[in-house]
Amino acid sequence: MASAALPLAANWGALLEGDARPTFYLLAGLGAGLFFFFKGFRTWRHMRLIQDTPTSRIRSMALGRVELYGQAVEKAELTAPLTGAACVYYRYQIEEEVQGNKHRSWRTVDSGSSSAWPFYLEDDTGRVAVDPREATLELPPDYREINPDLTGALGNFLAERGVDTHSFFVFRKKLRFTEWHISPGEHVYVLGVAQERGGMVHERRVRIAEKLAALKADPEAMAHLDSDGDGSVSAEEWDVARRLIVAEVERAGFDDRVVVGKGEHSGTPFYISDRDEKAVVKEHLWKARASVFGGAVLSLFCLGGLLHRVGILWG
Amino acid sequence: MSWIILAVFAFTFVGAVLYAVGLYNGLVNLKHAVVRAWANIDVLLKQRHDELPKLVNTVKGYMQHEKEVLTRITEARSAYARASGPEQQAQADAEMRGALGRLFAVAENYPELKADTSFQMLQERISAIEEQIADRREFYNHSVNVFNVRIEQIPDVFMANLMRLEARELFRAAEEERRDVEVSFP
Repeated sequence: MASAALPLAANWGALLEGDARPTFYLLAGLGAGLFFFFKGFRTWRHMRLIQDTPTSRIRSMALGRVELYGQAVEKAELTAPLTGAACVYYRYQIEEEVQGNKHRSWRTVDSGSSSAWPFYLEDDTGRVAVDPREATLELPPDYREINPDLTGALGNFLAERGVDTHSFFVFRKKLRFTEWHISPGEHVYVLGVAQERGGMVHERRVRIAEKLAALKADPEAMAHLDSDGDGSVSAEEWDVARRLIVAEVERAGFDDRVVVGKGEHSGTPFYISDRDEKAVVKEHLWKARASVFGGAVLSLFCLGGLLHRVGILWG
Repeated sequence: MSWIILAVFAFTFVGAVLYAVGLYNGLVNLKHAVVRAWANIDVLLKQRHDELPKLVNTVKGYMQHEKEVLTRITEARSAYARASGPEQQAQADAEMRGALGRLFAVAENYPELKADTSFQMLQERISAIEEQIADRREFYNHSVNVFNVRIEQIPDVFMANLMRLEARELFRAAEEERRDVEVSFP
């Protein structure tokens, strides 16, 4: 390919002779082909990572890269904007049909997601918070419709978002609405990085320190701690009290001090899917194959076209 | 035409290099995943090890006639401190689980001990650690299994041979744990 660049450069003028558009299309095709070729290998590496990472149980998962499979549980009450469905996560896209020179295509006019809201993942051993920011979500659309009824909640939502539904006078634009969401109770696959949230750790420490200080200041409670009745609270007796307080603080909502999300500088991809591991691997495999072979064929085709235009091939 | 043939060769070569790099990095990743899975068990074994003196101090006041049970715990703890490497640590862990199981069974005969808050907390904590160790053992074995299968499979076997990778040992249950439990009915 590199050696092909020399005659291409020498005959650059021939590429731009007459109608230059085919040359640009061929160059764009060559670039896209190379992009898909390399992207295919990246997808394949991720597929192997998914295959090679055993699924952890939530109660015993370690910090670092984890693969989890469990049921989604709401942390905040969310409603999907297009369908009004209760969910733990949503993403939506509103597109408008636009007429190009030769073809019609869809242009996004509004999109959004609830990625700022974490949700819980629960298996039969425990639960953990999942922060979906920067996740690659592999969800099939739950709702896709062209020009649905825009009265009611959907119309109000569009007005709220400032989406104009009219093209000219009373004529309506052709709009396509797509929504993806994860419902409470749905089984979810997650590959990400489990990490302690710095803020939560500090908040937990402060809460424990406050409770211990309050205990020390209460003579009656301190007397109750003196289980052997020797008139003083020994180190062991104090340790029991401290442990009880730690357990109480953790029960009171600090169970999400560990969160699964996109790890910083970890190199681990962050996937959320509503399918199981097998289906995720299968999808990655065909995507990788299609990308590598499709990218190579597209590149070769475009390269052949460029060489033909400069008269080197089939000239 | 020769340009296209050259380009096809170039793509095949680049593809083969990327594939080989992917296999190599994948195996390196697996090798470290096994080490990490073991280290994650070790963290819990150490946590349990640190809880034991508190447990022994709590129970010895109540169980003065159960010296054999307490000695077994202390010996198992020392065995763990001496153990090095997964195999020896697995052995020490099995001894410790046996000793703790015996202690908690004997504790059933001491209602005052069972009512002791400190003992209840320690028992709860150690049981929770035991459950986590069991999960992580399973996780470790799964990691080892993936690694061992990969290094024997084509095409990974060629890269694994170049890297001189060898199969890892599973964390096996001790002989006494595999023995059938005898249940007798009156």
